[in-house]
Amino acid sequence: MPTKVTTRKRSRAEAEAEKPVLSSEDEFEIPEINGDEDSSDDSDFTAGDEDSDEEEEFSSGAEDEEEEQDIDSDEIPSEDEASPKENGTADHDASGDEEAEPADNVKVVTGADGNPRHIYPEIEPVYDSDDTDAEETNTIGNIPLEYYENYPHVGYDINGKRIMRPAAGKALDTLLDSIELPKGWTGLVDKNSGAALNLTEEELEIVKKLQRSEITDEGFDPYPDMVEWFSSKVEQMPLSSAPEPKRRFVPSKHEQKRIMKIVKGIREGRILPHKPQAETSQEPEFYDIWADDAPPKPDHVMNIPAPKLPPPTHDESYNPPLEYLPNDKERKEWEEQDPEDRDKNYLPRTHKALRLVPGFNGFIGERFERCLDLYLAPRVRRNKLNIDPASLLPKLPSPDDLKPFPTTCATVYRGHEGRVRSVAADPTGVWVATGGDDGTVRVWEILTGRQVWKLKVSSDEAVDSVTWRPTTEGRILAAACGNEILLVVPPIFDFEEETQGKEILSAGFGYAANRQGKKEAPGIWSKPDTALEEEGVVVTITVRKTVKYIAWHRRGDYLVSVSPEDVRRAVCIHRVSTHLSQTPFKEKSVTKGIPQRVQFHPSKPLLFVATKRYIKIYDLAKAELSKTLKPGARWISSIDIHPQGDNLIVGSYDKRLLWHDLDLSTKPYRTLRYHDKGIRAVSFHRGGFPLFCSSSDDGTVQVFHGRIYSDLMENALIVPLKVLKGHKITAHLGVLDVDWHPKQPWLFSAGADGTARLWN
Amino acid sequence: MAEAMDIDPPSSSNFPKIQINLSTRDTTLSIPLQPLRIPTNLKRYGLSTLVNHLLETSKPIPFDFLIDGKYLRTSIDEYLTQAGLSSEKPLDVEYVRSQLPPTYIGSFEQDDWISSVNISSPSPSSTILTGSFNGTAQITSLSGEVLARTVPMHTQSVKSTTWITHPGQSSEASFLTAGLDRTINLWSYTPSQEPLSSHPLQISPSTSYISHKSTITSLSYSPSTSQFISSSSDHTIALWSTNSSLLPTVTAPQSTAFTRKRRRTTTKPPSTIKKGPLAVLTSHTAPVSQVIHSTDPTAAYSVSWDKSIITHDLVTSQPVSTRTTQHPLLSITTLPTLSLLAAGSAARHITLHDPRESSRTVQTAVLRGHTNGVVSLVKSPENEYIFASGSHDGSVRIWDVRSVSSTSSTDGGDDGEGKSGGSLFVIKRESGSGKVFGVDWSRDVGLVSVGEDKKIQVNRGEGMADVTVMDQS
Repeated sequence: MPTKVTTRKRSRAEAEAEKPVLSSEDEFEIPEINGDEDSSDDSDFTAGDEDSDEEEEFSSGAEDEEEEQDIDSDEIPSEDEASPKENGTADHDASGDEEAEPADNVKVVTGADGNPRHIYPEIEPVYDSDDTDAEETNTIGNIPLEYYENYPHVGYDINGKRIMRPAAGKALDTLLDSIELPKGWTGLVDKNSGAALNLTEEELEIVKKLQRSEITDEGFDPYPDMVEWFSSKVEQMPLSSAPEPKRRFVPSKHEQKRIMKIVKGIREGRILPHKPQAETSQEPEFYDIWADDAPPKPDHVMNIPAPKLPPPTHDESYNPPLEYLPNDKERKEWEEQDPEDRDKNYLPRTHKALRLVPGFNGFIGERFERCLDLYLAPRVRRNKLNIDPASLLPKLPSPDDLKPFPTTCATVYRGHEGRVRSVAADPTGVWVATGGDDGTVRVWEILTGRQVWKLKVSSDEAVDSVTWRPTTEGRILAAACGNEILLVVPPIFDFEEETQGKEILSAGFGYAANRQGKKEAPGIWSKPDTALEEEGVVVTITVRKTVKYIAWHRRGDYLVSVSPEDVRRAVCIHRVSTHLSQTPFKEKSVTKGIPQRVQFHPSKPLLFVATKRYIKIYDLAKAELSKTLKPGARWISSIDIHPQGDNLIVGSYDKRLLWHDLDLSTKPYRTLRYHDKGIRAVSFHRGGFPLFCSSSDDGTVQVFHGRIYSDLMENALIVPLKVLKGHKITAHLGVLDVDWHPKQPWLFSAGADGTARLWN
Repeated sequence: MAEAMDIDPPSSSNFPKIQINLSTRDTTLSIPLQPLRIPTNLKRYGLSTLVNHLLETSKPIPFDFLIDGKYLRTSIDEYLTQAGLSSEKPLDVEYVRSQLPPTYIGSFEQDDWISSVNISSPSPSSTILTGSFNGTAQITSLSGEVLARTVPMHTQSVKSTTWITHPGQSSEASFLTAGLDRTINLWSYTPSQEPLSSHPLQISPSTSYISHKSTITSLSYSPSTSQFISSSSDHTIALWSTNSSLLPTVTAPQSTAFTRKRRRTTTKPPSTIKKGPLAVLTSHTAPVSQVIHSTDPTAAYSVSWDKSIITHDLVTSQPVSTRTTQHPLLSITTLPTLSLLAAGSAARHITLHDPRESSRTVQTAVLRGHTNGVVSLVKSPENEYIFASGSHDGSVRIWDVRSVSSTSSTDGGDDGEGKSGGSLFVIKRESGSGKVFGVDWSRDVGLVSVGEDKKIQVNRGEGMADVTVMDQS
């Protein structure tokens, strides 16, 4: 528990330590930027005339640091909190030991605090006591001995007898002193020889040195001259190979912090760099206590003047107009009221003259109440900003101004059994194609919702993706079902268009034959069986694993498919004119992750590959990775590229719709979290309306306004417009695909409830 | 100024009175301008009795009353309260012949969705021509008998039909059908005199008109010039003549192996003369949704998904004027006596336009009420101010162009200038739901609508007696 507390304290202390650093850095930028404008300010400051205020600032800064240190030092007691406790218990144990062997004459009682208490016997001042043992000492008292120089005694004892002078031995001493001792005489006898034990000079010297506790060695210098290695002199060669510490050439952060504090003070006007010294007048300060207003106190945060009383009104006049005078009923009412409930504590009265006005008998009480009000009611200055919360919201245009956009369901395309997986509007804007779990591809008339053509592709596999070739000549529909991609010319078009489409698709059959025998191609182009051919299927491309998504290049010659199950060849590019398929990424490691969606850039030779977490942009011309976008989503479900090519929207299964500006950053420019469940599909309008939408498993399609400005400095404007509700959630799946009408602001959605819908 | 005539029915002596100025646009029903003072508790019926009394009609005519472009559905007193008006100010009241609510007469079921409907002229008896999504057209009598059915010449849905010569005008009636398969077929139909047997007459086409590259959305025939025009999703309008000798002969490109295989399952269609158009008008930039002849047979109006209404000169095949609205347009009809065009849009409303060059404004009024695209418009055979609209929301609405007010235009500021109004009556599909694809209205049959529910539904405003008019919207 204590350690936990300390870590929290430490982290707080660190945070507090970091915070001012950050802010000071931020502020540090400001004078640099504004340096030219108010250089005078700076020069003022650099002149360094620090007066008392600055000193204050410094000291306050030091206090701050001390506070921080205090916080740091707080850790120690809290950490060591345990140790005194342990000591305490040890003490307690020790006292317990003592209790075990109490002295004979000591009584042990339990004290009021529960602890044992030792009671010692009282000392009686009798002859047996220690005092009586004291020997008699000199009793001459406080008399100098020289007074008795001529007497044989030196004083008198308690009985009046003389105390005789002790033998002095002075004569003997002087005799002995007069005898000259030989050098080195010690007065000791050598036990071996019996002769006198004398010491030599050296030995004596050693003894003396030992007595002085010095080192006995001859010639040892305990204080040699110091070599100044680190001196102010610049040496030719460095003494140490250690690199120069960073602090030598980096401006001190601490100083910067302190300086910034001063700068801030100067900016806020708290510190005046050249404040004239306040003339300390020697005169004592007086003030008029009878003045109406108290002398103005210096403006300070803690000084809040008392609110003024309202001026008296008409009914407080000594002779108020009649209408202010209470009638009997009002008077009675007032008198019956509880004094606390009365709105005023007087009744207006009229007097003929001011001199007739009696004294206000409630004067003392009123003053008292006023005083109570003044010092009992706390006066707080509220630092509440008077800001309208609405004004802080970003200014977004009203959706009404951004019309037209789809608002209601106009047509429901019914017919699919099971989920509708994919929806695609024809480039002419007359037909819409859908593919579903029942293995069929269907084409519908847009407004009436009439199914005009149906192709049963497979009985057991779903059509996961349908898409029209985005060109005006030749109406070709690509549909992915299982591991096959079918290129179809639906027989609903004019004869010429139909023939044109079939010619485009059939043109490459020869190429495919020439390439036979080479290494195994990622996709096998073949003619469909007659049953399918009669329905309009011209070519089928068979790849290894289930194709989940297909997308056309804008020129309609290339088609890219994604089979996430195929680890090695997930992305496959198919060329219609030569009937060839190739995998742009030979190894799985190139894309690092399972590709989810692939799109061609609308104008440049770029390929966008969305893996689960990243979007990689490959330059097909240079055959290299040009950029990696990191949307931050956990599992990307779909991407779409703005028709101008500089922006990208990403839908993810973790409910987020992310807008990437490719020029800005690899991180999303805007994150939109409006869906309750994972996003399945996103789409930009390509026909001139600044609209985009996202569809989700919560059964809704959300329409947004996404305007891009030609001015590169201006960011895109994104306004949520409308939530389109109508699709039912079936088995936790909502709307699986969306597509825009190529020209009108109409939206198609494919739902898991077996319907596709048109919204306009 | 004449003294206001005081109308004082005995029951309402204690109600305040208001001065009203009665007026009408119908010259046959006009009364001398005379201010009247009437009690404010009067409702439509009371006012109607009053006008009948003033007109001294032998048989009472039911009238409706418009105050400030709105039908009076309450008492005058309540109206004044709602509008916040004072009863001291004179009130301008316009009276119109009451439009009776069309009641449901019956419906005839077919075996597929019905895309279009045309009623023939009443002599000897009206028949209903319908085009179906299964590629056939069918002539139904008013009793529901199928008189004739076309052979499956159209490989895909029929989207539009029109009479050329009505049965009864000559020995042989003829009509045109067109649809998703991009051809227009001319059919001749001889109505048999004797009662029909159980299986209807099979009729075969005589001429095919080939030019369009995409779905033909509408046909319009002008009897005075014997010309017809067709609009298509391929953004073009083609002009044709019923006189085959004027048209160039074309060969049909229907002979590829691909189509042959497809056709093999069905019966081989009869061979027809293939004809090309007199002219192709390419003014639109999006699918043309409808084209109609103007009262002047050399002019035509067309509406398109490109939001424009274009007036074409059929003689020179040039566009005369273009009016661009704000929404894709799906249908159009003329109100010739008022020189107005009504256009139904995909944005769920009907806009009224003045097609004349002199008019400054793009649109004069917006009529709101439909909840889906308005795909079919037909004017009333009886009242020049009334027209009906069929919409994909599964309802047919009847509108009065007089019932528009500028007050309620605030709710749709985006639709530009002009007034707005609401519908007079709403006719729901008797079958419950399903889109309405076509409406036609004739005096003796009534209002006929067809749609996704595979039914021809007939409604008629019957019972000229004392019908309480209810606003069903």
